[in-house]
Amino acid sequence: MTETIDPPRGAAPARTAADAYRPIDLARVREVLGHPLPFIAEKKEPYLGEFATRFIAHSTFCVVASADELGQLDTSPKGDPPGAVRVLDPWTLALPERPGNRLADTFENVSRNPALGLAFFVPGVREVLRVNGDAFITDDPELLDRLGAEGKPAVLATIVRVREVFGQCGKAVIRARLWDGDARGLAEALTLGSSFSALTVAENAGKMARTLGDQVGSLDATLEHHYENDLY
Amino acid sequence: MRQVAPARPRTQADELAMVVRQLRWEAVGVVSVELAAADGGDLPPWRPGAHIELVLPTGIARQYSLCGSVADRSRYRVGVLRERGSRGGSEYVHAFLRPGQPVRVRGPRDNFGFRPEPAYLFIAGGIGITPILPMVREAVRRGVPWRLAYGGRTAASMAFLDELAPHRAHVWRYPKDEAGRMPLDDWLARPRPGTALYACGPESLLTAVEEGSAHWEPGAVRMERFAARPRPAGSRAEVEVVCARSKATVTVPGDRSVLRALEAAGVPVVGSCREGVCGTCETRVLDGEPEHLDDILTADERAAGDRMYPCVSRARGRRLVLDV
Repeated sequence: MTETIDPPRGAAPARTAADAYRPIDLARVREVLGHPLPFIAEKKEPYLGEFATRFIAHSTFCVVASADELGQLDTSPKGDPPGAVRVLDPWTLALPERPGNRLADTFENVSRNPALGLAFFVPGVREVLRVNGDAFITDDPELLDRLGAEGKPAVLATIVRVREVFGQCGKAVIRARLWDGDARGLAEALTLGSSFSALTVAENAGKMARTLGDQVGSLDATLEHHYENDLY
Repeated sequence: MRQVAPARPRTQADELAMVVRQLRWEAVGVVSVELAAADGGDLPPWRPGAHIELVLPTGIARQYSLCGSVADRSRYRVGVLRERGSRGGSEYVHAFLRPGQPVRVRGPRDNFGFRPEPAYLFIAGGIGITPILPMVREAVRRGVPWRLAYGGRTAASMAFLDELAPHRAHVWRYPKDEAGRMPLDDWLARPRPGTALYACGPESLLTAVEEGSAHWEPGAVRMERFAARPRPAGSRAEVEVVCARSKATVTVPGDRSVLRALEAAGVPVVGSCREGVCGTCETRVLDGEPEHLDDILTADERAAGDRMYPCVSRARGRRLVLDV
């Protein structure tokens, strides 16, 4: 049923398109999706390993999610040349703030609720690096200088205390053909001719052997198979 | 007077495709990086004191002095200090660059202007040893007298001491934690006739060298900075730039550099450091008097007024005619 809304602006009326659908509970979601394999369920780490650090150093784009004290969410894209977000140590990130529209939704949220979710992208790389943590804002001049670009210091810096780090498979980026035609060579610079999964296995060999058993050696091939055959 | 290369628009074609052959730990916080042409061919020749601009795989470009052998055309070597406050260049080299990675290189460029002299005094602080090292080798090769005063935070942080070891009698080392500050007054008080001074190091050292050598003959003192000296901020006078080759006239507002204004107007000038240090944007001045605000030219060269660095320098008058 379609209602005519006139004028079609302003806050939502009593009924919108969303009301035509019935929400389901998590049990039904699990019925549809199933459960993750142990190595996926245990993929989260509480620190930035060497490969994650390298990933962030080559990332040009990240999406920052924050929430206010009521849990109202906001998502904000951040773009810069590679290396703009700095890993200060395995448990700490620093994000530069460049001149913007001064709406500062993320800062408003962070000052009320430190929780921050980050998704990092590297041009040419299908997988995404996810970092969740707790943030605060600083104006430390030395750090702003260090985060500078084009000869200008950053306006402010967001420091993130890392809570969890994990990689996310590349199906979303593949379906979007997000990096088709990208010629910057950053994927090669990041993986040195290897792949996201091979480097993840190399860095976490012990844990991966435990959660994956004999399959550890074929993870890369399995993933490629999924990328080719199970996108839809 | 060093030769001025004819100015020409620099394009991507001037970049060398190179590959990282080796990273080598040289001292606490210092690695050397050896680069070879991707096609294995001979590299452009260079003179002691020259630097290259290294374009890292992330696209970040940084200048590093060449510190290998001028006679070896098969490779370039640079020394890189890991800096805590790094803007990302040295940090990348230390943490992420690996042998086999492709990089691009622009240059070599020579701002130092190393010349044959009857005798040399070299003063180096920290990673400032890198451009001095090939000068030392050249002095040794020519058999002329030379002395090197080399300072650093600690002996362990001073790179290339092993390569200097055969010339121990010519080298005075000043690790600050053991020997305190370099006694510059002793080194500079009595200039010897025919001795040229070449210095490279942190700003504090170079300022002290500049002050301590004020009584030396003009032209006998040359130094190279890593970072720009502090410049007064704020807006400056508007400049009208006539671009002789592009047949354009560009008005440069007071709050914009000449380089930025030329770029915005589509005039091909390539800049890199944008703070008057690297020399990439060197441009010939055909008419008008430049106001030199760079950290490259010597007093003589400034007075000549035949070239400028439009990333920082402006005009004494209202108008400049540039060979762009």
